[in-house]
Amino acid sequence: MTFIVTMPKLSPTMETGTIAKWHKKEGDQVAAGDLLLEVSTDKATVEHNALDPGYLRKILVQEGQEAAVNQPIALFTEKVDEPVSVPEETAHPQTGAPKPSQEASAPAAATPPPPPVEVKGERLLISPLARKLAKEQGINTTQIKGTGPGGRIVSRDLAQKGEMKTQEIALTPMRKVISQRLQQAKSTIPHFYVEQTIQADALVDFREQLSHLGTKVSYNDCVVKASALALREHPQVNSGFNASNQTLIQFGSIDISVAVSLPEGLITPIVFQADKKELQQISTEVRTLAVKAKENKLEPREFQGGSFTISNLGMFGITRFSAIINAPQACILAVGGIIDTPIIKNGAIVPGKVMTLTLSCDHRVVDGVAGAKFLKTLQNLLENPAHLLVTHV
Amino acid sequence: MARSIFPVDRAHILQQLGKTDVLEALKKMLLIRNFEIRAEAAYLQGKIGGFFHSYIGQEAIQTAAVMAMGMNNWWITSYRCHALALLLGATPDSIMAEFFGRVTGNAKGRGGSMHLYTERLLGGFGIVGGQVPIAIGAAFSLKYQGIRDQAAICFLGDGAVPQGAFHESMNLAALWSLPCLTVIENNEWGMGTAVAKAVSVPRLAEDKAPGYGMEGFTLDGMDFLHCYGAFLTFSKNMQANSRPILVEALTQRFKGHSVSDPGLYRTKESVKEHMGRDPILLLKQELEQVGWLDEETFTALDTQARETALAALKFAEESPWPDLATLERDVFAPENL
Amino acid sequence: MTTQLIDMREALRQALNEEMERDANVFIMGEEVGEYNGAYKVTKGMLEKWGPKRVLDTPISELGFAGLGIGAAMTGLRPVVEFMSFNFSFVAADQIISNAAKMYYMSGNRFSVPIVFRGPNGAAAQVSSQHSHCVESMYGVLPGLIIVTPSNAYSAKGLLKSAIRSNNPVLFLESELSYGDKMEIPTEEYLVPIGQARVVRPGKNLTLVSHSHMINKCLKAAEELAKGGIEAEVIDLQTIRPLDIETVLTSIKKTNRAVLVEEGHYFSGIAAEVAFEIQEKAFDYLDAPVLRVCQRETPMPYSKVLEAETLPNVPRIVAACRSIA
Repeated sequence: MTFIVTMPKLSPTMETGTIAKWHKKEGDQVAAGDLLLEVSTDKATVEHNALDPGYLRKILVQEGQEAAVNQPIALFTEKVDEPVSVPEETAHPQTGAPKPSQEASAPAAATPPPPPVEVKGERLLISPLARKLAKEQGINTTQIKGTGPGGRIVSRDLAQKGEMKTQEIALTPMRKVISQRLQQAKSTIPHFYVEQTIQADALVDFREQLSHLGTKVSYNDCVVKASALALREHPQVNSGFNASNQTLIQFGSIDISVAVSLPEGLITPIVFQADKKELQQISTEVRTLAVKAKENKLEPREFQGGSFTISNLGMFGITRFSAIINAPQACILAVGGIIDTPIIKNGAIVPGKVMTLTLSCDHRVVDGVAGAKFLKTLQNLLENPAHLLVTHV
Repeated sequence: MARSIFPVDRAHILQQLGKTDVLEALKKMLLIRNFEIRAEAAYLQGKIGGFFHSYIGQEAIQTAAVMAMGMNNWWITSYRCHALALLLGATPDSIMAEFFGRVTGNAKGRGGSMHLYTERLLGGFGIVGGQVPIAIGAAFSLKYQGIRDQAAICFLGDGAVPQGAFHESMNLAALWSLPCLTVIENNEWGMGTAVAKAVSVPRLAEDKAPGYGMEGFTLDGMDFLHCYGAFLTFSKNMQANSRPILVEALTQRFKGHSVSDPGLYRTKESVKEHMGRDPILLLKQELEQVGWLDEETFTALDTQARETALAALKFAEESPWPDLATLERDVFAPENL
Repeated sequence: MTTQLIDMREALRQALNEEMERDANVFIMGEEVGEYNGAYKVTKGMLEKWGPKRVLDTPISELGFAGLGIGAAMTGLRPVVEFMSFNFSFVAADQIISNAAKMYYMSGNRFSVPIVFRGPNGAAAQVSSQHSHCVESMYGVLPGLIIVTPSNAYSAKGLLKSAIRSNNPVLFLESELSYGDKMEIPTEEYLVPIGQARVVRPGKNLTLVSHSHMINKCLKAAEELAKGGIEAEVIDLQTIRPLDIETVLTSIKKTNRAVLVEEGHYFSGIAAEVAFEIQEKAFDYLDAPVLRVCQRETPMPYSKVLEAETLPNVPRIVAACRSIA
């Protein structure tokens, strides 16, 4: 029978060895215990003796060559004259790898963390970090669903609200302009505000009648026309202030800047000589300008200038608001929505519709009485909308 | 000062034992020898991990002790414990499986080659000398329980003698008159340190025992019959007077301290010379001289021992590994509070 | 139920006598336990009662007699080995660590070690650096040892009885400074189970966890805190290993704050283990980090003022509690 001699593991850390010297040659008879070879390991050169008696028939790894631990290095036969047959083990040497246990066993894992103490209802499960972040961002923690262990709110759950990161973003050019102009206006112009609520029933009726006639105008168009007419009567309000020269500007024409909201901010295209234009024309122009504004196609001359600005948040149902003056103009009119409200008519409380107008004035140019008078004229025009159809040349 | 080898009438012992028993002793030694050789070969194939301390060359001592005194005592030794385990009833299969770390092993794969146990074998100990206080504790138990026909037998190497544990144990054993037989198996080397460079006196038992107030004797550890006769006498003495005894058994290990030890501290010639007094060879010659053994029978016995060892290898190879889910079980003994 | 007013050393003595009565295999061994009547008088009168077979005076030979005890425990007896103080256990450390702790597991469950090592642990009165060690975390780190730390006469007696009856090696850590503490305890036999902590003072604002001699300081600190409106719940661990973390967690559910006090050092101490388990298992119940008050990082100095400074004291405990209340 043939048996194999393999490279011995001569130290616990040995993985390969080099054959330093064979002390027997092919054909030799070897007794159990005879010195067979010397092996060089990383640590030393060590002698290795034959375990079993036999005849060395074939040296598989020569002097100076390296072999891995358990790699066959020589073939022996028990008898001198038997043929050498390589047993299967040379092709598939046993590695001694552990076979799986025959009993069912769970895979070795780290001891699973013990389940946390069960939390009863009243205590919010939130990590210290998430709690801190929620506080900083003003987020209501009771409305967040926690994805941590046991339903704990953790910091990533705040990120999903989309408000996780506080960032500093550079201003777009439009935003920069708005920011600069309005900061300047708000901080340098002495604003005061005059407010007037008007009865809007007639205006509502007026608009409806026009619509039945195939003419569609918006409430804002009416306000534009009415403002233009009122400015004709009160040219003091159609003015401005030149801050560098410290001079009062008396505008030569009534050019109404109409505030248009854009996704990135707002812009004020101008209806030039609005007092001389028919209501319908104003309506068409404003619509055209608005579309152009939203397509970023306004030319500078179309929004630079103007003598009076109108800003309208009525379409959002806003009751009233105050606007910041569009310098170098002296005034800006803020228009609220038409609201159903009880009004007093002939001494009785009846349901009515009202619209609140707020005029911001630059006190360097326009005094309270001038602003008040203007607003009363404007009120009269809007409460008697037939005026808006009268052509003025 | 030269040692005085304990006087034993070997011829008388031989006759007293008879052919069957002496052959039995030889069989045991052959089993130990073949088992250690095959296990060591498996270690060199990477199938056994950790440390492996072979008893090859020292077989006569423990074989004689167990045969002379009987299993029914408390036994304890160092990490060089494979032979004592075999002698005290651990099967070759279970020991080899323990070497291979399998669940069928002597200690369920939890101890390894340094920690083997049987009903009467308290271990297998890894810390040099750590077993000696345990041994006197076992002797204490016997005395406490009034058991007079048993003793504690402790084996240790020459390298353990300098340990404080040895000193404290010998003092306590003599002071409290504990029936402990302490056998120093002096194979002349504590790993790579010659005993003369480790112990300040030359005769480990004869010089040291009087210092503790106990008797000390020297044995020829390669001679089975001699050891057997000596252990018989010691056993009787201890049963009579319950005094501890310190013994130095002079022996040789034919291998290094453990498998990793290339043994460069001694010459090959000296090892070869020692192997000329191989205890198995000596007993074989003894038996041949009285006509109780021939070469053919010896070869048959040797082959049988080799077959047992190879079968143990196969058993170990095919045994299942411990179930990983049981890792943390049985760190503590069950309570009955 | 009738009671008796006794001090801890007498409570321990009663436990020893009762267990020796109950089981003939129980015996006592140690330096000066017999003729000297015990260095701290725990075993007073016991040599006279039981005789030298069961109460053994040893030479100064900790490694030897600790190992002897372990060998005896492996072979049918139930030794109670006294270390005059646990500082001397280091001489026997190899036997405790390599043999007692490992034997049952290492032998494949063949040999168990039903032994008790008992004695005073920790600081006494200015006994300096070699006589003041607190050993619970040093030995506590090893699987295979049971570590018990009674704080009063009641738990001392009940726990020592349980320790002697345990089939596993127990380190029973007493405190010299507590031996004279008196307490009313039952005259009838009772056991205190190993592995159970106890709430010794209920409270709803903060959980104060400690063991052994430090419990007294914690109770004083709790009184101080109560004056300021902070009700501390004081928990006595009673057993270090196995640790009864459930009792601690139940308290934290209620109070949401914890301060751990131990006589041992900060680094890698018992408080470190308990704090970790608290944050691991009751994270959602914490409103503040877990704090600890421990012995400072020096060998124990001799001078009275230095010793008092390095050990946990009531002001330090109170300050820690206030800082998170």
